[in-house]
Amino acid sequence: MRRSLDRRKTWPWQRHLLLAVLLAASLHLLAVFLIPRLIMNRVIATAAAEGARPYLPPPIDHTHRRVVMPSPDLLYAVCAYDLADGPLQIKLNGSYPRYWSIALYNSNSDNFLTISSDAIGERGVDITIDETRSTRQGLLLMRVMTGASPQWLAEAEAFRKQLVCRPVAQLTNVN
Amino acid sequence: MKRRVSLVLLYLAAASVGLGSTWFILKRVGLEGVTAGAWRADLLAGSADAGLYTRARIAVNAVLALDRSETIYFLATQDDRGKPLRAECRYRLNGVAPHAAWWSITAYADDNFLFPVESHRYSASGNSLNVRADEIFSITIGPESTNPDIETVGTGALRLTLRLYKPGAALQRNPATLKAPTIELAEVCP
Repeated sequence: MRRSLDRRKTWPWQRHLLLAVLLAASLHLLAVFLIPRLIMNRVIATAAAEGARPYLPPPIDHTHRRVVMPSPDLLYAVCAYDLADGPLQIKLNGSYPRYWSIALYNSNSDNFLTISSDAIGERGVDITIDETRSTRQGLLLMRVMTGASPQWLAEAEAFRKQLVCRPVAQLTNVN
Repeated sequence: MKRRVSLVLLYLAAASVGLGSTWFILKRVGLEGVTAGAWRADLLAGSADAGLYTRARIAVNAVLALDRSETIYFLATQDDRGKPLRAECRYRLNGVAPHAAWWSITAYADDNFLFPVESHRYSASGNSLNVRADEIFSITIGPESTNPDIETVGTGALRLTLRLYKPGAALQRNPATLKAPTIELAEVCP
């Protein structure tokens, strides 16, 4: 007796082609949506792995290959944060006569807050970031203009060391 | 069996097209936004109003960019004649110092990192050139043998970024009014 033919229905090629097109489009859109988040996750994880907060990388040169398009004219300070540890306190005392800024980024790479020298002047920075303003994880990036002068570099170095970025709970004295 | 193999190949091809087109659009398609001479700026860099593609493109090519209220980034990948900039060629940039608290021109290789040059001549700025707003400047970019202001090495694409920190009010309102530096090939490329 001849075995019966496989009775399972098989889709026509047109349906498979349609599904393939939908698959391509879905993967495309998913990748475009996820890429900023994946990149930021990597940047945040790299900064957090440095341990020190803020992390003060050495002056930028061609050996720096962590973040694309770094500026060799700026000194940076980096602070990865997770608001699961509580609100983040950002403090900066002192003054610096050239351009500087503190920028905060969400986990999807949006720059949601920037504080810079012309707005603050010499009065310093003292702000708190919580989840009403930021996604749970984010990144603080401080930029300090250095120029070619060794004296400017030394002044910029001393200024960025003034940055404090820690959970509020760590800054509060508990008796 | 043959049909099954064909279907697997079909879906693998679909996945490749989906992901490959993502890479192509984010890495190879030029920036949208305003243009000034050979320079282009995407004004939504860093912005929460950026669309899906702008946010992804900026993340891939210039992650951690500042919002336009703080900084405007102009990018040039071609000279004034529309020819792609190449690291092995020598270029002359002539311009007028823009109205900004601070500005700089930096050269990057095709991978968006600094050229590995021991001279550390990666960039030029208003400070290094000692020019104030509206003053004329002229710089050269090219290999070490050409004694440039900004040094490149090797072959391949060359990208120039013009950063304007705290741009003046007129530039903030309309970045296309930038008196953009001209980019000219200074001598025949090797």
